Amino acid sequence: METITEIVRLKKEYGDKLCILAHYYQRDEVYQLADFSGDSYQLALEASRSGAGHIVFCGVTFMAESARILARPEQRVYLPDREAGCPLADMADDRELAPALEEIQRTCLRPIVPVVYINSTASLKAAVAKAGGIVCTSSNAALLVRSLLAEGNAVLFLPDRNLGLSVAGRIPLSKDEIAFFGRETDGPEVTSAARMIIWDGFCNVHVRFTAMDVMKAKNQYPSARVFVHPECREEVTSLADYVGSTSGIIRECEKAAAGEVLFIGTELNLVERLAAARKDAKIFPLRRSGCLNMNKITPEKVLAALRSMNGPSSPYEVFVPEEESALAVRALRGMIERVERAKE
Amino acid sequence: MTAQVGPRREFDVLVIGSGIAGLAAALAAAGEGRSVAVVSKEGELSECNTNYAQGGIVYRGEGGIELLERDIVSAGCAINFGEAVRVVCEEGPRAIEDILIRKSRVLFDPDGAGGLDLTQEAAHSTRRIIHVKDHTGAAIEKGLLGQAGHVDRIAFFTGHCAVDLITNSHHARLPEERYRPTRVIGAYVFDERREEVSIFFAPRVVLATGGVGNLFLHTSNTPGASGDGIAMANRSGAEIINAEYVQFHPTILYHRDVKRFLISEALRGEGARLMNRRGEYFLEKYNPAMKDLAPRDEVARAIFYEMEATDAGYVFLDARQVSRVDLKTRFPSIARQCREIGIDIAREPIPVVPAAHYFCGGIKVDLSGRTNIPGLYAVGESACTGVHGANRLASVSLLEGLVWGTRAGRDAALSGPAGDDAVRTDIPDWISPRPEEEIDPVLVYQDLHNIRSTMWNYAGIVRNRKRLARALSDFNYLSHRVEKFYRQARLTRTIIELRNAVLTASLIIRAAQANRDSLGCHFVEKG
Repeated sequence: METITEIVRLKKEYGDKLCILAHYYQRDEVYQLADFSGDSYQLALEASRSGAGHIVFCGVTFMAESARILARPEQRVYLPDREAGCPLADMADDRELAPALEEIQRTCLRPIVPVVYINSTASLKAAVAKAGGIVCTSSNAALLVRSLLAEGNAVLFLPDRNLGLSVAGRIPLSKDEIAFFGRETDGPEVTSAARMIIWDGFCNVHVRFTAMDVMKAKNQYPSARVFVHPECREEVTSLADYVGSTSGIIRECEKAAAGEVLFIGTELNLVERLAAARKDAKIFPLRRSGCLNMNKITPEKVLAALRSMNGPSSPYEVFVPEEESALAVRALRGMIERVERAKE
Repeated sequence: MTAQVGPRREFDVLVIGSGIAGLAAALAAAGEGRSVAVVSKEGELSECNTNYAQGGIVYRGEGGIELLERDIVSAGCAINFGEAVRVVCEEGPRAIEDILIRKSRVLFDPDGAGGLDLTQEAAHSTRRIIHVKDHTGAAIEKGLLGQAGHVDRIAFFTGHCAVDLITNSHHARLPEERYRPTRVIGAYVFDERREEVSIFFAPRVVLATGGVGNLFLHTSNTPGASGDGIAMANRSGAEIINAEYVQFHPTILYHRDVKRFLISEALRGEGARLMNRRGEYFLEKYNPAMKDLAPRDEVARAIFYEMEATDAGYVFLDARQVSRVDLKTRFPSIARQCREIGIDIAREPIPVVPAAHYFCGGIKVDLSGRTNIPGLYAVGESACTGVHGANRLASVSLLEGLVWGTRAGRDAALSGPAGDDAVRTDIPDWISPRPEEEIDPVLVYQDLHNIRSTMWNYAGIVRNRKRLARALSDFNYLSHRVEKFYRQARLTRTIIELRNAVLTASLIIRAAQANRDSLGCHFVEKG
């Protein structure tokens, strides 16, 4: 309690010089402290729009990096636990990209454009920009991939395999137009017919859900609807009633009718928050699946980060080297331009 | 199969070695727009002493620069170079913040209250060392490599062992060059995999080849620390100074299969005691007041004498009576390593031996890392800046490597490329002996072993005039034979290292002979 009081005091003292951002998956004690909450993309944008000089980002490393990349040079971004990583983001390394592209290009006839999900390290985004590629989010991935394919390119999609498959399904691509590649994959070779090559990373939180979970839910409540994240396994997304990004799931829950039964296949902290917000409906987790890394952030660590802001070097401050940052921005701009063009 | 002639490559700056000093130099030079080659004889760039540094790196602490200067000079027995000490103390913290924390994204441990965790080590009068758990060096190396990997202007060459520096006056065919001032213009480099010798031309060459630990039978250093840069620099006419100051760590694990595993002094701090093979706790004989917590060099010497007296290759560190802390939680990595070789440190004494740890001397350089030969720089452990004096203060060497690497890299970049093109065409390709002799590897192994045991026994922790004289005459003979090997044999990395080892060992011996007074880590018995 003293911790919270002290945080609140410091927030007041800093006023609008400080902005605390929290991802939807943060534990509630931390979530309550935030000035803004959102998914990783919304938070990165919020950071860049904020006038605050100090941005305390409650999330995981790659998100804080994105915020750093989009922030102004004089702004400082802090992550209260520098060990809060994202195993999915770490499943594709910037150094793996060039050799992968070279290898795929040997058999693939089309020029290959790498498309990297925003859940990735800044270094990978930079490497993707260097290779002429762009960033995507779960909500615009299909649009971007479709426009690149329409120009005669093949796409290397990374790092999440399930998101890649769900995008391919929405294009739609046939089986022989899809190929797999990555660290653990010795699947079928990339053929000349391949249009989308999908990396083999996955999110620990979302691959825990199984088809059996969906069937049990529907068995228990035949009228129940199941909402899941596109990082879930294909066997789960194919049975779900709605597949969408974190923000999409939140919107769907808000729209649900009173008395409706919903099973949600995403991070537990968010599901519990949704359930508490809609007491008039029945919202259950499809399975209790929490994110270890998101949960590393505690109010104590937020306080330590706040206290570090005036020191000569804060152990919590996030840095992205200039060259890398410039390249990553290029990959993000590439996304925005393409999305805007598609709207025209 | 003879060593083939490899390509001729051209860079603005050539860096030999990929530890903290070499990478800092490469980053600084590339940052000024220069093309840089980093060559390492190892298969992995991270195979260097930096990677094995456990403790930490000096940052900021109470008492500021003045107190840190005092600690460094007091450890160095006041023969340090004041200006160099001032530079490392003044520029160190900023270099850590700028290069390690911001650009290389090294995550030093937080203290939980908003600052970095500061620890203290032997002979420091305050807490000022930051660390990444107990593997600071590895985290720094990884961060620097990650940063350098993104810089297109830096090209890396692994498995490339430098053979010799190229100078205009020694290597050019044109007789006139002999009379011009000597300058370094590149290096002959042996590519182990392709078995060819390339020429790397660069008007600025930075030696960052590390220390000399492997010239001694017992060492905490990586196997590559064989004094290569020191020997190359010496052959091209650079000055080597303070070579008698070789720092020994009192305790590494003694085991047939486990090399260079440090047993931290903190174990003695918690009450563990050194015991000889007869079961006697001997430090009270040597320093009745401080016993097992006597200064490092005293402890190392006591162990050396006991090994001599009991005719043993090791002594024991007895942690059985430690009761203040739980050994397995306080010293997890030591407990784990010992368990792997079948020793339970709570029930059995640990066999230990002192080990060559850090070379305080080296290639004489100025505040910008320049040697006395134009075009040649030296940084890190291979260089002698004057920071360490007669003995190194713990956790200062990484900082010195970072600061001088950066200074030398920038100086090399900004002093501009000299117009060497004309001389370059005049430098001959590598000439292999024909026919080459296939050398029996056992002969080379024995020569290396010979150097290491001679250095250990005659020029190690306890020196005297007779031992040094005997070592030098042995090495005079050995140098002759090794040089013959080198001229006739098929080139290999081991032969290059052997040739460098015998020269560097001789330089250490000569320096030790010239200095009759015990000081810092140079100890000579009288008589």
